Amino acid sequence: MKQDRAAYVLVAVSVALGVAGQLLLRLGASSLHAPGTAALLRAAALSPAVVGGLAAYAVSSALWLAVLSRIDVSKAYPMGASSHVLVVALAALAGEAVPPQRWGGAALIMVGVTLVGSGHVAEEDLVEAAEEGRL
Amino acid sequence: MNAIPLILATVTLAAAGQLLLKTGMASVGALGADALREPIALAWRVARVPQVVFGFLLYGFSAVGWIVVLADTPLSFAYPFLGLSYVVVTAAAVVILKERFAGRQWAGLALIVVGVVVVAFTGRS
Repeated sequence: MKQDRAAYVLVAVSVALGVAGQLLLRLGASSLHAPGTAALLRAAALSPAVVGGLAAYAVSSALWLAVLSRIDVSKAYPMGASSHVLVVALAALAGEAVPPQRWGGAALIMVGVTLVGSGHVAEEDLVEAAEEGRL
Repeated sequence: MNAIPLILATVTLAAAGQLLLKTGMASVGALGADALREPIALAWRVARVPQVVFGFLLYGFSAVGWIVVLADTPLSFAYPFLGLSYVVVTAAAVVILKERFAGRQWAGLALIVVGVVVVAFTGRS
């Protein structure tokens, strides 16, 4: 159980890093103003915000994959799903104009991802119940 | 918005990379404490699994595509499309890995698609 708590903290860190990484990537990429894709990518490779955003994204993904096996998907997915509203909120704070429908869409996606995760536990519970002879 | 095709391609690449990594890592087996104590040997073992290498490659391509997308697309417009990766991964899991899904999960996938479509229409303003 103690290990579980650490896993939850790691999932939260993964979500926070992922969300922060996305904002860094956007702030970095949107300020490059390079002509053409090749020039854009060259400038991106030298942009601290883009490189930092990618690093945050990589660490976030690695953490997520490492921890997902130690925690119920039904509990991990809602935390991951919250990123959909968090990213929009951060983008709005950073100055993006966010129309109301976009908030609505992000909220639908958050609920959808949570539901996708909720089915897994039903299966796992069944397997567990069967293994423990409760079925 | 004409960013949508590139966004969709990026999301598909990321989902495909994720699936390859998942199947590749499954062939490596569970990572116990013993394996983690020898990280170099472990990394070498993982790096020789073709699906893992190819999966990382696709992930890399998707990251490059994402940078191009974010150069001139608002994050609040582009990010919601990443929710579609659940749809791609689920479809593949059902078709290829023969996993079974409950009704609630299908409802969740439908909500994600509706949410993305709603967001996609906000790009016209």
